[in-house]
Amino acid sequence: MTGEFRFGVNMVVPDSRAAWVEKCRKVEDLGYDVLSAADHLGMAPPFPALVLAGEVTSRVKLNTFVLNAPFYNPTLLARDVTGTDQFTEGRLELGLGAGYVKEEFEAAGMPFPSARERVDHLERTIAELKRRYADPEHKPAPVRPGGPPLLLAGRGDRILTLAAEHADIIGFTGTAKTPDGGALVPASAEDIEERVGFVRSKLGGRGAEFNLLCHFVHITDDRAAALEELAKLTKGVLSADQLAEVPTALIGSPAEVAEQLHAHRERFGLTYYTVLEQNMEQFAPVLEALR
Amino acid sequence: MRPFRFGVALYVPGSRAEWVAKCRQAEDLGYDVVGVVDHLGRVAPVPALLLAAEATERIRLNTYVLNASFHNPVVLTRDLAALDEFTGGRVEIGIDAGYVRAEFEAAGIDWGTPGRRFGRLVDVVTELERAFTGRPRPPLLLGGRGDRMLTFAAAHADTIALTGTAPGAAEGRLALAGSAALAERAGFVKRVLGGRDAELNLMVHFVRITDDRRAALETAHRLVPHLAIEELGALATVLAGSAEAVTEQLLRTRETLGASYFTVLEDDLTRLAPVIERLRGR
Repeated sequence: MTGEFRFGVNMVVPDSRAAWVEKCRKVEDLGYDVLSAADHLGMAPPFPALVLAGEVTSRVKLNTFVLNAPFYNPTLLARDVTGTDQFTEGRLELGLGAGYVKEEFEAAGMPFPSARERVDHLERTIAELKRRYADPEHKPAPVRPGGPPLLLAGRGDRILTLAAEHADIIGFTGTAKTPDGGALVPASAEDIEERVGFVRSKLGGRGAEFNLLCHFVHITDDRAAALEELAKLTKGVLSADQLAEVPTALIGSPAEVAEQLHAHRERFGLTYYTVLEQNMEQFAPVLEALR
Repeated sequence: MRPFRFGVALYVPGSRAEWVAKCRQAEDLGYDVVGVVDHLGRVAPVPALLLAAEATERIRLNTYVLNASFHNPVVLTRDLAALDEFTGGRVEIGIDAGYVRAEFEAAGIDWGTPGRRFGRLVDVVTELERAFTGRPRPPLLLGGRGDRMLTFAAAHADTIALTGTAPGAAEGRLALAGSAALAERAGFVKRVLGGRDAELNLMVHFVRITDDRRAALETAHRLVPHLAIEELGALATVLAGSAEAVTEQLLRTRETLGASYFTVLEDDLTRLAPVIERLRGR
């Protein structure tokens, strides 16, 4: 445990049971708090993957990061959520998003709904989940009366307003505003600060955990060089100086990154980071440094 | 003649421990297949089968059966393919077109016409067949009662399932087909198969292993009042009598109807065990 922070790993679920089992055990062994399964076509589906993860681990929370809500009928989703909650004995954390990968909608033979329609669907989904959790007749029953913790992730005003209203955990994407369905690019620290401020204004004092998907991890003794390298890699969207400030790029020695995390907590209120699977081993010394 | 297989369709949702215990019990009792239904208020099928696989060694895992209208074909195919991989190829996929209108309404899914629901089933099967082109597809179980469904099943399924129900089955009420109607449907399947070999599954609606066959049949008659006690006593979907008598009955059913795979509901899980024991390896 790392006290004031939580750390998760966002996993791409492979086809093979053996590969998935091995990775899940590694997440727990490395000291992470949360094991997250992404939801995309071409990967294994989150719910059975998390049930399997639960069977081969004992401690980590199990999170969908995040479900593409338009792929799911809300009523049937409620059954999968509470069923998985039961099967993992209350270790499930449900992460939902409005969906953003246009190609996947095409592949699933569904029209790509407008941003408004996607958030509408997300809103209906949240309402249906809450209604089902509260219904004493609903089976499978949720492990806790209010259902598993809810994480809502996104960047737009409407989705973050929904998150401020309903979510236990608010997931910041750390991405900049781009045309709908387009490629993702990292946001500046000022942009992220603005989004955090927006959520705080909507929370009106209610407590919620702030999560961020950390896109870049580089544990190195030469922070300056690594920042320059990343600036080139991201095609100059942000300069090295700007990248030095963003919480989506955790770069430096474990001690330096630990220091950044404390600074980001002050500035952005972020206490829960999700790193990508390929960075889980590299990032692990930071967990040690924070102990 | 095919060897016997026995399945149980589990549906009562509960804790992890309860689910694990039930799946192990099914395996220990000698069942070949553990199945999950796809209804609101019941277990979540794909997570439930994943956990069933983790809890057991041998038993095969079956959706008995998925409602095609509840699922996007592409997303469902992803889920089932992963389930099959995660369970070491133990999955058997059962699908139908859905039949409980109230569930469609509760989930906000268009009930549509029988043709529309059948179309959704065709879409799911088409996507499954496409996705598994060039690699082994999990066995497919399709079935129902009507000509169109059974003809489609005969063209696509490894296992063809007869529901053994009569038209106009009201929700919550068991309307069983009589022996003549059941034999007619089995004959129809044989005809549309046109010589192709497929497994025939029969859903067993009532099991009582007892020395008092008459009392058991009276109980069945209260559940299925439109069939006389004598008719119920002769029906392949009603198993009432001593373990020896029911064993003989199943041997006869395999001979006459060609059904070799029998699925009971969760309530009857332990009841059928002495019969399974007697038919092991036959």
